[in-house]
Amino acid sequence: MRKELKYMIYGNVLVLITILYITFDLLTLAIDDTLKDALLDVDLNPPPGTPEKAQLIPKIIHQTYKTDEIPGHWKEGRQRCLDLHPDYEYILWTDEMADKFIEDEYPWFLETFRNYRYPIERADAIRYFILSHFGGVYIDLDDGCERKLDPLLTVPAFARKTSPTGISNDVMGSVPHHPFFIKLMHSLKKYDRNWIIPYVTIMSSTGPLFVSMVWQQYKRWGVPKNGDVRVLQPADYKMHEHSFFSISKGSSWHLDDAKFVKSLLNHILACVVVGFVFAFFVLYTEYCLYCWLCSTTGNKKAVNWRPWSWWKHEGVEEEKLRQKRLRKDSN
Amino acid sequence: TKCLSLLQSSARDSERPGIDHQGVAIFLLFMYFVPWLLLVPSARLVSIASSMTVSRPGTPELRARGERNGIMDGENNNNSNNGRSYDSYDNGVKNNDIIGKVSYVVKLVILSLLLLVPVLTYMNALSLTPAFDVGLIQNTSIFEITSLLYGVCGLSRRKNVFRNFIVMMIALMGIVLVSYTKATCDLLAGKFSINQKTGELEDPFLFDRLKSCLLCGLGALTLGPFTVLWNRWFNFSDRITLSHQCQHLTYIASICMAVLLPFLPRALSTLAKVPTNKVFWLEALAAFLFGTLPHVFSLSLIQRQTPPSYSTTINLGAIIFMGISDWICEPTQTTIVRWEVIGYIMLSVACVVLSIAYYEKKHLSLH
Repeated sequence: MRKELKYMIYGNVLVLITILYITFDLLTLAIDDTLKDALLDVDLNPPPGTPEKAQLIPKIIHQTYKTDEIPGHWKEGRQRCLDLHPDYEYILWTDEMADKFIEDEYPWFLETFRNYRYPIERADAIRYFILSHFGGVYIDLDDGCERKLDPLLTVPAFARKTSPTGISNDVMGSVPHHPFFIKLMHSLKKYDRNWIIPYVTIMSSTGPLFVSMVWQQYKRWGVPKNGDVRVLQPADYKMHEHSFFSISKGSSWHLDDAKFVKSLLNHILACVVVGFVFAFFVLYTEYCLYCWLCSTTGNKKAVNWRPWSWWKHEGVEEEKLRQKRLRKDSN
Repeated sequence: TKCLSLLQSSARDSERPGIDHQGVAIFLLFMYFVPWLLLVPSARLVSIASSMTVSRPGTPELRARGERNGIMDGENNNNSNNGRSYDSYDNGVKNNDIIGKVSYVVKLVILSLLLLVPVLTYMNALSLTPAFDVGLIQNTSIFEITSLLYGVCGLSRRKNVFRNFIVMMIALMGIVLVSYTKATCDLLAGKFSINQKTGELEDPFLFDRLKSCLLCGLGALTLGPFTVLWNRWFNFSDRITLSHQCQHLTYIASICMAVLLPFLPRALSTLAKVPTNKVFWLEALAAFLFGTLPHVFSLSLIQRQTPPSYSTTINLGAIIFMGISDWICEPTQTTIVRWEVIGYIMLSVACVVLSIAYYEKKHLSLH
């Protein structure tokens, strides 16, 4: 095997391994079956006469905003949550409170927390710390409550299923010091990378993609006793008769790049085939390059080499060489 | 593919509770390898038919060549005096050579595992995705990986590489166009849209289809190493006969079936729940006897008679014929749009150009 080919193969294998390493959790997400961890109807709407389950998650509702001046379109949803849960403690975490909390309780994370490129990353990160520290239920401000959250408090932790796959971080609940939320906290530093596109950076460093990937790792190595994370299914989340939440206008941090990424979802299956074609294009271009290298190193007239002569007349050259060999053989 | 898809969808649509679709897929996967056992008799039939129809070569040189080609054929060997008969000489390994035999078995096992993966993902994909989508993604994937590996492993001639690459890219662009504009919205035109009333996906099976397409495409990649190793191990010499190659294929199919045996009871119990009528079994028979068997047999013939790279064009042809069969089988559901036609034209032209570029008949006998 020629050394050019060897290097090319080694290079490609290295790139492939790197891509596989980086995207492994994403790939496992594609084949994940969230139904195994689903919160079932019998858990959320127990038939009358069923003995009441103990409530594990403390009755605290956490929400976050940069100040305590909440925009008008979110006020109604927030108020519904307060009205439905008079027996719950309610904490609205402002940026100032969040910074102070990290400084006092988790100083090892303060530098990363303050150096996040986008404010939404701080808003994402703080929810994992407060749930791990105090326990309770975190609800995004654009999620209004539709019914009492009590049935959700009977499990050690929960998150909601998102589309196309994985779990989201807009509604979550846990007992204090739940192993999954501890893992989330400690994974934040590792995942703090700049992926150039803001939407991708936010989603994969602190957002739902980050949560989903860490969740995959958490499940892969065996869930500890009482460390389950149950998944709220879409119908229980919103827009159904027994749903817990309703949604008002959100995604306040979405920029033009988010619109572009979402427009790709309109042709999500097209991306698969285009991906295959693109991979082939890259690899075959390398192969053409290899052939070109072979033709230039093997040909003494490399100085006079012309690309068009290579792909057009290479066969003729090959034939001439063969004829020469034949003549030699005949002598 | 169309028949297998119909079989799986008839099982799915039966609405019987407790039907495990994977069980049906495993049963069909097992059945897929059964016709491979008929490859050796088919090769013998073709051999007899060709020896009856083809006259003996006229010139002494051609006669000598024909005799040389027949060295490894059992029937011809009865008349040869060179002492290397079919019975005592198998795949270049003498029967009493233990290491050679072990290496032969290892080769067969490797090929079987490499073959099992694409067929398994293909059958699984058919249970979730329309036949055309599966045919498209699988053939595209096989075309790409075989074209690439034949080049890299030195199985195709390094002649007009760049020109062929351009033609291949035109074919692939045609495939993307065909799929994207497919008006029945099966594969690429499947839209990710959310129902505003329920907050759920309009098409609840969109991501299942995406998943199965992805797995089918990735699974088909192992056919690349399979064909390369097949050509290196069992198609390297003009002296290996067709019946001998068919025998190897039969062993490979047997190993695959043996691997599937532990899953067969589950598959059979699933099948017992599916309402199977005469049409079901007739379709299955048609799929395996008139689909799988001729496909595998003709593929091995083409691999034998032409350079390996020529067989890559079969995958492009398969996509075109898949579209035609879709149009024939479901004329009421098929709407053809302008860009789809352009895509098919691009694909067809590229397929013909590549076929001409790669075609070079080896003058081998069918024995």
